[in-house]
Amino acid sequence: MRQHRSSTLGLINIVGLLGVLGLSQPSSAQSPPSAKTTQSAPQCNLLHDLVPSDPANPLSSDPTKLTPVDATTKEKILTSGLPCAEIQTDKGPDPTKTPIENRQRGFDFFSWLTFIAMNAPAANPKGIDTSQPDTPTVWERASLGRADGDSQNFMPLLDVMLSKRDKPIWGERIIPAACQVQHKRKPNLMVVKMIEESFNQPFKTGPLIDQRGNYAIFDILMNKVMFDYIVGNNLHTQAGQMSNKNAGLRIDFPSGHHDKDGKGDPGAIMLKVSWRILEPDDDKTKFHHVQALVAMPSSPDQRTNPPCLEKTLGLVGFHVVHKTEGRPQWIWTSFEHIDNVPEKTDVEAGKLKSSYNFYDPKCTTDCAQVNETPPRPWDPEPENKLKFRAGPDGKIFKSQIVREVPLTKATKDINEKFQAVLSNTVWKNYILIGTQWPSAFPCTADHSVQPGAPLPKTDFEKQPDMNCAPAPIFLANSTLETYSQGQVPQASSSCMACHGNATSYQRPKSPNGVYFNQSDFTFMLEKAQPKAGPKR
Amino acid sequence: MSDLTRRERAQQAQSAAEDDHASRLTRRTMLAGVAATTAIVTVSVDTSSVAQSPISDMEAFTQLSAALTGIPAGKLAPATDSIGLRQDYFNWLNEKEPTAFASLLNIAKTRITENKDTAPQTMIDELRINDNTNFLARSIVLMWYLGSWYSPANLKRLVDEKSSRVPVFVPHTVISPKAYTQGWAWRIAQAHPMGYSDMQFGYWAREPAPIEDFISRTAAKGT
Amino acid sequence: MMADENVDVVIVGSGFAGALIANELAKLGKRVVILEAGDGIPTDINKYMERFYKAAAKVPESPYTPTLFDKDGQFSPEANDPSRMPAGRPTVLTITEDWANPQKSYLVHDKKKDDGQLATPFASTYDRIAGGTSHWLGTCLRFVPADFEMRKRYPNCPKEFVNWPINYNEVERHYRKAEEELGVSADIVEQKYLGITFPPDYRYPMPRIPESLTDRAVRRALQNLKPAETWFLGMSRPPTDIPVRGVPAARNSQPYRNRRACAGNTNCIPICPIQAKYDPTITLNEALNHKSVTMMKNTVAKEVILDGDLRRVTQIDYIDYGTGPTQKTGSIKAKIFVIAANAIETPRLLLMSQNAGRKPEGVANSSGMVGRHLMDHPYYVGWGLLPKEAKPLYPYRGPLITSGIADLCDGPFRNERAAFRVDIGNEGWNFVVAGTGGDPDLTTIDFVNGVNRSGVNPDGNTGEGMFGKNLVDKLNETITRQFRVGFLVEQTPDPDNRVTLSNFRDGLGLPRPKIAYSLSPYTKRGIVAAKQLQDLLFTKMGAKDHTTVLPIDPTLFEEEINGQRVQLNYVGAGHIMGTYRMGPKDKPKESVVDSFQRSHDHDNLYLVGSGTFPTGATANPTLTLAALALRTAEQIAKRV
Repeated sequence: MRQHRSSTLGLINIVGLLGVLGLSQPSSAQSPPSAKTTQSAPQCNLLHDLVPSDPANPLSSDPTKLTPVDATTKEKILTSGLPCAEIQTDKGPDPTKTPIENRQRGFDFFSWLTFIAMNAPAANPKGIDTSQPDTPTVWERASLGRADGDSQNFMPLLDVMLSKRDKPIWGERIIPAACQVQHKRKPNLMVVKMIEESFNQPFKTGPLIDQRGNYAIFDILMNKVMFDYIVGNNLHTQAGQMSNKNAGLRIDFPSGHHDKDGKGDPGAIMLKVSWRILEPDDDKTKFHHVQALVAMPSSPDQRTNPPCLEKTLGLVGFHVVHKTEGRPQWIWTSFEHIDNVPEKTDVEAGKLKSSYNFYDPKCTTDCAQVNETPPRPWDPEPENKLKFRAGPDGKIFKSQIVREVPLTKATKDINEKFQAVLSNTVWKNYILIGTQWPSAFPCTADHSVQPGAPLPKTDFEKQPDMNCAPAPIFLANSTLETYSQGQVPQASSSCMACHGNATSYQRPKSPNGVYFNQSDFTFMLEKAQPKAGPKR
Repeated sequence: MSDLTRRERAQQAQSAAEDDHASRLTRRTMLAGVAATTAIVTVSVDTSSVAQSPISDMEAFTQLSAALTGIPAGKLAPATDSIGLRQDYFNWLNEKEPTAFASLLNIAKTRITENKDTAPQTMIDELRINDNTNFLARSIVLMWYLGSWYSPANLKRLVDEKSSRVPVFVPHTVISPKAYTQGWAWRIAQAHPMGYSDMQFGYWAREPAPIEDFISRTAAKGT
Repeated sequence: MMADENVDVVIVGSGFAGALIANELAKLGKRVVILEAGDGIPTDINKYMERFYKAAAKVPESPYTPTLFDKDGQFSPEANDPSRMPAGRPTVLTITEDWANPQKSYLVHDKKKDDGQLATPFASTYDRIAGGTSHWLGTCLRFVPADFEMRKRYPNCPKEFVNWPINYNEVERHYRKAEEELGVSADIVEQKYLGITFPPDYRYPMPRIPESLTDRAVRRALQNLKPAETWFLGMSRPPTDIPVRGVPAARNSQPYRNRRACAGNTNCIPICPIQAKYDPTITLNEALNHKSVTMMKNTVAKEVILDGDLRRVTQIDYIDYGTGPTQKTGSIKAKIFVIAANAIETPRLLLMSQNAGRKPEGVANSSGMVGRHLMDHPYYVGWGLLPKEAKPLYPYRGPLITSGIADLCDGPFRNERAAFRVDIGNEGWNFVVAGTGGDPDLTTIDFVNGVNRSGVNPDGNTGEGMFGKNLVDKLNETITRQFRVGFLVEQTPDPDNRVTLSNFRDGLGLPRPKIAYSLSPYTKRGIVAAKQLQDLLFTKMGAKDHTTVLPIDPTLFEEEINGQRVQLNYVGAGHIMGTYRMGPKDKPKESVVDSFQRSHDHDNLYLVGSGTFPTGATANPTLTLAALALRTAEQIAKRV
């Protein structure tokens, strides 16, 4: 297997990429010099999990059969970096399984490789095996103030969708006023600026309160490919989206792909993460954790300015969404901390651990109702400092969350294998919940192009099926889609069914003109701010 | 290497088309690989069939459903099937009308074995002869089309009272939310079930895609 | 919850009006308690959607509780026994030939009115649940200025018509506020007709929803008309072009307040799966997100209690039936009381509030008008099919309604006949073919089974049926050419159309509402004109009229049109109005509340919702009732 460059993982050819998109290069004084010079395309991780075949073909003959995981395989998995696209087929790895089961395995394998590549140490992407629970990861790099042009570098959404500034600058963190003093003293801390969506799940479905009474915190990040597309097309403000120039724009983020020689481009990747606040007496070693400055959000009844709090945040949920040439409807990956919640079947069978992040196995008569939202009001109050407020009886509500739909056996099997691979590290405490992918290939292929052709142009007039038959039909993370778990069409959580509805603020050129505003499966664009006045 | 039936070859070709180019590295190597396994994996759910062996109930049901509904088998039950309705309907029919269902499957199997090409018509001709298979066949069409169960007895009653001056009301049961949202009648109308749209804002201001896109196309437009 | 002197305002009902007022007061830190008769807001809509998908009859009430159905999705009369339900409500499923059977129908129907006239069903329904009638369509039309001044402008219209105590200009500011709160999408240029004006720099919160292919076909058909063809409308001049305009709606055309834009689920009624359509739980949740607001669900107000002088309201007595077997009674005091329980439940409560016999006519009723002037918009529907040579219309796509005809809702004809507005349906024949379950089921069964309940399969009515490709082709050819139009017709505010108390009880032992209702000749003449327009439209579109009226239809009536007897009928639009009308403060015996919806009789009592409408006009009432509610909230806020 080709070795990756020893420096940062997979440098991207920014100039080349922009050339293909027809965009001019942003005049960003802050981008490191390497982004301006011509680089060859990054190496993509081509590991796959298929039945061995022709050893004469070096590219195809690199199977990483996970039974057993030998030392060579383990080494490859831990150091091969980010896959630029998925590799899967209906025929393998197990010919006795159905086509969809085989493909699902391929996508789940892709998800695990992605998780490992993202969470490798920022300073040493091959070194995940020797990482510590608090080693800053690749995806946190920009949040910690050290950004470069790396495609795996991620910026928080809120630092891109600015209301006051004209143009966001890649890698530049906007430090909220409340945090300025603390930030000067400790500039290396992650900064999390909270808005309503940072504690209230999508479409205001509710906050999640952990067993210590603290709000779970959510954050959304995008990689540089997405950033370049958004800023390059002037989509980072409402006014920009509504401009005449963008009336005809069909939003189409660049896709990941790998070429014949194993090089390629990861394309657009977005993240959504959930954090738990770790108290001093929590066992930090079980979580990947960071020290952070958290700027509290404003609340409807507040009378004082919300403070900035220094907190230890433990990672409990991790969504990765990756657009690839084969899956222009994106691939939707979700991970969780292993101690988050019990499965419904575990509860019914009485097979419970001694503690969970979001479930109390010991409560008897005074349990909160399972999967119920907290009592309103929901907003955190400054005086309670990210603890949920106490009720009239003095007790603080704690969410009692159960996973409605258990993980499939296949998912549990692959999790076991990868946990063995990661057994030296804190990452053994994380499990894949599932990968959702568009399974109607004639439909997805309407967007894809043949090998070697230029970037795919999505068929925007495409009907009947925007989502191309997501598999599995439903997917929910117990920390991020807590209150919409289930198996009812449209109502229960399905990454693609929901994100397929995402639109921008684009307007038609005339009142009766063609009205096209789909935003390529991301709700990021709707977070753009108006120039002045209250946010809608 | 066993002689693949025409259907199995077609299915293999479809599976091949379904392998997207991103996995083409592997597919080339796979096809160069073990040939014997290929025959096995091209038959979707029922893995025991190889060419010339008896047709399974599920396979007969699929072909019967395709003939009755006019929707190709590859769309009712794609090789990569994320929905899995076929099994739900099969189970429902076994529970509700086991005898008539068994008769229908027998008719289908016999006709397919006799001549695969004429089977869609010959099986329909035969099932029309007896009321129990005739009306169950109609119930099956309505299951696929509407996700609802209209019993053969009720459908027969509608026919018996077809001259009634006042429209006769017959009850029905929605089989499941999943079944309702996958009804083919709506797709035949180039629309979608009310309450379940996979489409995007503004689509209704434009004409729909051609009906082939809704009910029969199994290959990408560019191919 | 115990009686609490610190409560500023008690609001009975958490629908549009109740939720909006609660939220306005919450933003100012006022202490508000809401009593909601039905269930609370669920954590997610899984159960609503599941119930809807499984429902054999997807009626407007179908997703919500109290559930209409058994586990197989069949209507369950046992579960819906109105004498046992604690917070029952009407359902269209009981509007059959047995419509007046009080064992089945929650509303107790008089078959004869006070004046001896035959009654017909009141065909509209409502939900009793947190958020109120969330099954609404979403239409947010403003009234036209003339709607407020029927008596003044049309002196020959029936004597029952009165002027409103306010006019368009006085409500305009609150129309804008309501449009922002609900999130209305419309193109302002298109909405300037029949005297509707806006401030010069105003824009609707969102651009209009794109129109459908059916909208365009109707527009084309109504261009280049001859005056002789439209003379019957009685406009000042017979129109030669009848515009089709977008319908302003609380339906997102872009992201709005954390909700998605419409994805055309074609399911606005009964429920939008993605909440692109506004419903009052949104505002209710905002209100409840303030510490000073609480809601008591499953709590039915049973009496409004007055002080010793019978002047001020001191408290409201309620029954909290919870979700357990036992009921609790209680009472709640406040400074100001708001009844927002819709135009049937509000008069019911007022009439029940006899205060130990001291108020036999009920509270707020010195005018005797509480419960009177019950109005709906009788909704006349026609449906047709284009021939197979015509370009398809592709129904069942997009929101249920995107455009309509508004320009015909005002004119000199209002001296002679009721006005109407036209809805252009995007959902084909889904709900129109009565008694059979609607399309696409009906037409599909016709072709599969060789019968002809829909009327589109006369040659195939042999019992043979079709399979395979022929079936597919036939279905596609037929269903893609369906369309329907609906006419909302203004009703005369007849004092004998009224809500009173029946002798039949509900599950809490409270008397159920009794309804006496019929259409006036004025309104029937409006339906006649609607039918004539339908005929003109269908002729111009080249469509075959498939509209039928079942002989057993309890709303059936006959009229003569151009020398022929024509059978007509109506369904309910869901617009319940008029039963505690507003009027000038200096004539308190002629109305129940003033223009701020404050009771003439009781200084600290407000009655809100479309029950205060003195006339019904033709526009859907929601935007107007929302505007009035916001106007009332401003007044209340000054007083607490």
